[in-house]
Amino acid sequence: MDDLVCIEGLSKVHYGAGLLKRRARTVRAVDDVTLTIGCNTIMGLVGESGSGKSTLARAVLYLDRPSAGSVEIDGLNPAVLSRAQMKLFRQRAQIVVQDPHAALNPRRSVAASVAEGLRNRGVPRCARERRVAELLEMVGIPARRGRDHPEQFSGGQRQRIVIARALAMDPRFLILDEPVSSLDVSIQAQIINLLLDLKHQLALTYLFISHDLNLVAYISDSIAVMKQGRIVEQGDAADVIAHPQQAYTQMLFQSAPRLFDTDPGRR
Amino acid sequence: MKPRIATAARVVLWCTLLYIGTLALVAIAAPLIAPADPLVQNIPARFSSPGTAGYPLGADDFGRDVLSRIIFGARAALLVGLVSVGIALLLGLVTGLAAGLLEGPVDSALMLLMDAVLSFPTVLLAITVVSVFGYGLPQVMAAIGVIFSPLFARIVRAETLTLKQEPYVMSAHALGTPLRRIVSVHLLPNMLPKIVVQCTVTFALAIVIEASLSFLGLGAQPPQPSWGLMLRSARNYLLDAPWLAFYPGLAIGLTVFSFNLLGDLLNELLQIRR
Amino acid sequence: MRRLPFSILAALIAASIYAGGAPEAARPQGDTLRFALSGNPDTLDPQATQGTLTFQVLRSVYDTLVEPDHDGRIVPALAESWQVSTDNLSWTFQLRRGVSFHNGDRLTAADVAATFARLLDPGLGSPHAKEFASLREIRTPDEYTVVFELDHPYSPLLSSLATGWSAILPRSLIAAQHDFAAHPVGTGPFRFEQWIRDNRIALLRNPDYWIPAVPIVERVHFNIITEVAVQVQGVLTGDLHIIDMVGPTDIARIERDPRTRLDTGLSSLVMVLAINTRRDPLSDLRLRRAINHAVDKQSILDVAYAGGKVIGTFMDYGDPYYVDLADLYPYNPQRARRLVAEAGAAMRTLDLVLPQNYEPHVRAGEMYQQMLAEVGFDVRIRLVDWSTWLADVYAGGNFDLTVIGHTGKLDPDGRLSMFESDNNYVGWTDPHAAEMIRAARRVAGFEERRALYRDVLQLLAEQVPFVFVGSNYRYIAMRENVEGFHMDAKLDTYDLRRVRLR
Ligand SMILES: Nc1ncnc2c1ncn2[C@@H]1O[C@H](COP(=O)(O)OP(=O)(O)OP(=O)(O)O)[C@@H](O)[C@H]1O
Ligand SMILES: [Mg+2]
Repeated sequence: MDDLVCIEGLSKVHYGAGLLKRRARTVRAVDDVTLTIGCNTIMGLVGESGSGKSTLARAVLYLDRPSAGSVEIDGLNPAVLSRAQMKLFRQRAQIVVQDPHAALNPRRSVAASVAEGLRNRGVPRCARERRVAELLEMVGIPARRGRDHPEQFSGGQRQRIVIARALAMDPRFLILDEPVSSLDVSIQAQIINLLLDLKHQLALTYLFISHDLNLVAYISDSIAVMKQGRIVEQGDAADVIAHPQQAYTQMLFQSAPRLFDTDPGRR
Repeated sequence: MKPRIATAARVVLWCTLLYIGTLALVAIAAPLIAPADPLVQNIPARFSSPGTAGYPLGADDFGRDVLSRIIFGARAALLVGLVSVGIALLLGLVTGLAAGLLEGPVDSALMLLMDAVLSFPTVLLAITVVSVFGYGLPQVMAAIGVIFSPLFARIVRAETLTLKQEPYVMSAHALGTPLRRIVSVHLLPNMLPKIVVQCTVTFALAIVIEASLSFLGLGAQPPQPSWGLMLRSARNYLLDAPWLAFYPGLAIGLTVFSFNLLGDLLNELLQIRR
Repeated sequence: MRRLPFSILAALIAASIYAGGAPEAARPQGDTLRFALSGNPDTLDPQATQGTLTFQVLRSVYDTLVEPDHDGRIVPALAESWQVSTDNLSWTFQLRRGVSFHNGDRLTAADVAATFARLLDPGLGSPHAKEFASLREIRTPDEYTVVFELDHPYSPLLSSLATGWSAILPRSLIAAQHDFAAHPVGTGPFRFEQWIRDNRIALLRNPDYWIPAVPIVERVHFNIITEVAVQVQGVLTGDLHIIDMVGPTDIARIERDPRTRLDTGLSSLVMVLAINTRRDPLSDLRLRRAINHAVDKQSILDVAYAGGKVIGTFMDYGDPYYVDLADLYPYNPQRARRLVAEAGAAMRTLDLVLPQNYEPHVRAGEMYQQMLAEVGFDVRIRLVDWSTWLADVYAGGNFDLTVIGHTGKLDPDGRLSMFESDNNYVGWTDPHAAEMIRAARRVAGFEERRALYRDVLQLLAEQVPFVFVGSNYRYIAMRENVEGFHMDAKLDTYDLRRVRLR
């Protein structure tokens, strides 16, 4: 199978603020991470809070410049891209950020938020409006609600809008940073189903971040386990679930509420 | 209980807005409203007391109409407020955004500079600046603008640092939105409430400082009608013509109080919304 | 019964009143005159400063060879008499005998010679040295005769010798490099006791003063009080006997109070609206005359300067050389407008520079602006601080109009020498006037000099480099029990010798 995403030796160090004590407050949030994600697969990334998952996601997309290592997505290495090529990279790889409540600018209509990427790509205004309507319908939001502001939507609806915003770029690779963890259980299922549907329709590849190993086990093809910035275990989803090598992985697995393993039908 | 307090606050807010609105109108339409030319002297009428025919609020030591001078003084006060707050806001935005967006040594250097400016007593610094660059309202406005820019810079920097971490700003980045647009669409509108509050408070401060400097003879220059300058010449006649000090003092007090009150109310109002 | 003649009766009664003892005992012991001084003097060395505050104190500590009397005439002091040679080149002074310094030294001609040697010593750098530039040498033919030999005739010398900086110092202390700046020693009516900075300068009566039974009060305290309001309060409560800073608004209060009294006199200041005759529109005499007619001088004096007298000339009213030119340019806006029209119809924009620290001048400036606007001038006010005024206006000539007061000078040459060339801030001179100014320096007789200066003053008034507005009143407030106080308006100093507290 072709690999869409290759991450090699990626590290990200956060330096503390201040003039004098910079070294003292240094945090190695991501430490020498190497991962590959196959085309049209889902990789689950699990780890406890603070283990560096979100930091890794940002570094992979070059939203924060990594301290070391390289990234290649669909053959594009952002470290060496020109400004024009970088635009292409931004189209190929998108992120659905954690916390849907803060993922949308409260001062803009959701249509404007969804249209943001289209505008950046230079899509003309009328085509933009049409496409925004399409995208909203695609994620199950009535197009006429486009002029409403985020505060008028529920958490689940907002997450749908965030997904639509990412899809507007026609990406091939999507990082989903805990897309459901702040939602009600019933809504979680709806969003997960939407994501799986979209993956099939649009031939997407996901990096699915969660600290819920059960959920990850339910949807992933492969799993990586993260602890204190490092990948401590990585492999085929079934293997990792069946034979967790690390006590840490077992702990994660046990502490998670069991929800999806009763209904493995959709895999 | 709660809605009653809110109603009271709303009434106060409307009163404040009404006062400020009236003041702005008076300032704009001063030549139409003022009963007399604020500069024309009439020596025989000097020290006419309030209520004298033709001098509703009395006449000053040159026989000029106090009411007309108060009305034209509103112009000076609001102009100083607007211009100096404008300058402070502009400088504060540029430095605050630069510090917040670039971080690192640029941030440290800029903030050190701003702290240095802030650590001087404001009025003293204004006096120094005006003494170097000459007396007059334009210099005063520039001085106040520069001196208060750190207040804005700090707010803008802090807001930039916070908003930069907001998921929607990160998403915009991921969507390839250019920095210019991130600033104008995502950062500025979301820091607006805090900036507006700071503007009203600074506006009040600017009016006080203009009045103080003019009182010291460093700001508005005679015969320009300015409240501070009116107080300055009135201080010689406190016993014989107290109204010369009373009306400009009242105008300064009310205006400063209104802007401060507006700042407080907006602060509360905008915080509830967030 | 034999009747005593009335005169003898009166004499008897008078004698019985004084029978209590000698005049010494009749004076209340330990009475102190408390005087408000508006700041610390920069120094108490009379040769090292031009500061008025210094001379206000030192007038009571030192004497000069000659001094102005209450009418401004120069009269003997430490010199009993003087003669001028026919070529006006040597001035001979006979010193008073039996005068002693506060340190016990007897005054002799050597002290006078040493005093002026010190004044002219470049090492001291006295700001007054240039006034004695004509001096070739000082001879002391005997102990009580001093001869000033001049290079060229210089009549203003006599006035210079009457000013505070010509105070006579003891030779022995000059030789000993005594610190006159902190501890003055003279022959004056009071001896220096102490100077507590920011608090007071205390003087003690000199019992050996050369005028018998003078001075009268035992002590003088110059209390240093910078605030006008505090001074006024002080005289109202009786903490102070005399204050010389009375604001226009305090006048009524002091007059109302039965325990205080107001001494009103014309100052020696000549208030002017100075006109830059070098600059273009104002180089036209018609416009300068228009400005003069446009100014209501009495109104300016009343409103801006708290009252005064219109004089119309560059010599103060009390001066022996005063010429009455007050009616030369009466207030007449119509005539002013005609003159402006004659000079050309264009709107004239003028730069009026005001020294912002001097509020009366600023207020006068506001009035000039309005008065000139009425006859067709567009006057823009520009306020500057004092140092800028000196550098930019007075030295730099960068102005169209400015407002200032010229202080009095003992000799007319002091006021008028600046017009010898156009090297003055208004840029005015006149060949004839310059010749007369030079001539007046060479002749010694008062009448001859007066004739010359009269013509100079006439020219100056006609040519209008200034609008001579007038002199302001100056107000001195004192307790009603103060008697014998005299202020010398010209020197801006006080004669406390005959002050008595009833
Ligand atoms: N900008 C930053 N500066 C300094 N330290 C940071 C910064 N961002 C994150 N960190 C630190 O890096 C580590 C990893 O944080 P990160 O947000 O990537 O964790 P996470 O695995 O996403 O956690 P969660 O499950 O709570 O989202 C944490 O210790 C965090 O405190
Ligand atoms: Mg995270």
